Amino acid sequence: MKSEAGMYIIEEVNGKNNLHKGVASAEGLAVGKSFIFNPQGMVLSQRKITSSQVNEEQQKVVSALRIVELETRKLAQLSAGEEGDDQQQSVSAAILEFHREVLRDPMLIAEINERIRTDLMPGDRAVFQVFRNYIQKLEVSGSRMFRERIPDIVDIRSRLISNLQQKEMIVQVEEGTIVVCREINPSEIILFARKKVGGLVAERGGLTTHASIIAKSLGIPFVLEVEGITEIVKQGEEIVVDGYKGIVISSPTETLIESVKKEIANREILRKEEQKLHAEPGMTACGHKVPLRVNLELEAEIDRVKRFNPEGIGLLRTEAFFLDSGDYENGRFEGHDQIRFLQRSAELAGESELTVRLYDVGGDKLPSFSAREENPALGWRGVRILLDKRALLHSQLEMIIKTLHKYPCKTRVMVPMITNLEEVIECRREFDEVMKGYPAAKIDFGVMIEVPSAALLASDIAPWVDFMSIGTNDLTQYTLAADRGNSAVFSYYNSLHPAVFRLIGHTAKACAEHDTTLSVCGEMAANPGAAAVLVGMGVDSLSMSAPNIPQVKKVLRLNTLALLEKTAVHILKCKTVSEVEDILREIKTP
Amino acid sequence: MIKKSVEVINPSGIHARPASLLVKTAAKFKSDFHIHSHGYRINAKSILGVLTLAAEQGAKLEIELDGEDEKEAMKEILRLFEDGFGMMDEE
Repeated sequence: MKSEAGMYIIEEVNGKNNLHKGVASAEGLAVGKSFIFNPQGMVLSQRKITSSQVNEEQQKVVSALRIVELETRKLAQLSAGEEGDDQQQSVSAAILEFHREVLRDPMLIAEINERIRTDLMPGDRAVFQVFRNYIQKLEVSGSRMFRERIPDIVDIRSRLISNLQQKEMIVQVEEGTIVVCREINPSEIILFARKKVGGLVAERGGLTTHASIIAKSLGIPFVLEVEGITEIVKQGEEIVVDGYKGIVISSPTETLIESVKKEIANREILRKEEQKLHAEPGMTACGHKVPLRVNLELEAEIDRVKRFNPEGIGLLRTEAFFLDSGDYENGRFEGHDQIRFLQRSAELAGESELTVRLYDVGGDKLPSFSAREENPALGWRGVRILLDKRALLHSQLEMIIKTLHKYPCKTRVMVPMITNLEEVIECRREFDEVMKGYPAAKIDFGVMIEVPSAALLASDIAPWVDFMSIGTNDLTQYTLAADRGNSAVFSYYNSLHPAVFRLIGHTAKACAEHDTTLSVCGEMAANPGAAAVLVGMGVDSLSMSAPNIPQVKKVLRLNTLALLEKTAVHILKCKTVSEVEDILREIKTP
Repeated sequence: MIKKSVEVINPSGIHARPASLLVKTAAKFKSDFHIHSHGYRINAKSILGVLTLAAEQGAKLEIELDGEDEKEAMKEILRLFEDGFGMMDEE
């Protein structure tokens, strides 16, 4: 939910509504009674052990490690069961996975045992010291990314020590309480989440620490770096925490509390509407259906995109599997990972479309059979490699068709980077050849239009294909001779350039004349205004990364096809980018 | 014993998640697994060891595997590096 925060107004009242600024760490708004959480610092045992106790002490450490690991696994299950965003949940799971790996670290265990044996120190102190060495090493490492793992390691250490000291963190909080503390570690957050606390405020912490990721994944508003807040807020007083703006309000007036509560209710409504929107199909205000599909590259993405309810997969990239264990020269692949990816994608697609793009790699990714090229973008890539390595093309086609022909999804196979008609015909021949082995299969064949020559030949290509899909990123780069990764020419790379639109318009016209389906799967499809214009030009479906689907859907549903067609006509007459931008403003946005 | 040089290509380097993945992959094999970097040699089956390498994007490391299944292990481990630990799109 990305709507504007702060619909409530903070009036200035003497001694009331005191504002404390911090850093927004997890979104959300809450009002509730404060709970000042100040856990006692730990005291390490000072005693020495005798050599006859070494074994026993080592055993205690091993069992503490095991118990804490078990607890971490439980926490992982707990946080997986919480409501929340899939992506963040997988992040939270990854953090706990990291904790478990630390608890299983063979070096760590060996070093602790060694410390107990040689220095005759009790387990808790050995744990403390061995961890301290690692923490110090991370502290001197240059990167913030690594230093920010320190709190996690400190957290694991504390849990181990408190387990060794047989202490239990006993916290009594009521539902809806706002926890105010100096600092908080991930496992404490999960324990608080169990008690359904309303929000978290801490004096210290870093933005990318696991604590804030966990708070986000559990949907608990969290504000960090609020100076001296544990001294300011009184135990049990009502406070407001705003995780959008990163503020805390102490001693709020009744009026403020009322308006914050209203705002919380409004946000809940918005959230429900957003969920409702996910369930709706992509279409214009007048009911013209435009399926909004998703671009996928990795298996791990599949679970994350589900909640956006994409109407099929408009671009399934397979490059990630190109380097699968196998013999590239002869096209002999094991391809287990790719097959599983195809199967899981087909399950996601259901009865909708699944467009699989054949390997689109550049020569630079093929260490085994290519020399380094001066200019890889204009070099040996995409279909050029597929046609030169016929066995490779054949084996991938075979793998895709064999895997997918029995699924209910509408499978489409797409060839990347074509620049001439010969390539299309040649690939079609290979496709038909493989299809002979599957006479009952209904699979479409199509090409990517991502080079100006292909766009200009669209009407000649159309009779040979079932569909075309425009890749706007490459089309822009090749039309404008600008590499979008090169900051020196970044301003030249602009998908809103009129020439790019004219090439798309030309392709759309050719497709309409030949009754060929046309989709767009580049980044332009994710720009709501531009996406709407594409529909006006006659594009049948759009494919984008999942988080962009809601905004495109909203804009489409506000505009009629007639208006979009009119806008498209205007766009095709534009001479400059700024003219295009002016016209795009005519499109209604929420 | 076999050795191979690799480069860390994913933008965020070998932080917690890639390190978990690396250690978990290595644990599947019997071979000993060490990483050399700037004159240090760390046991790469230890997540804390891997983390203290503080290997950022562009870091060049040397992988050393020693054991009966060293070849298979090398193949899988190299793939993790080549794939950027599946985190190429991450900031």
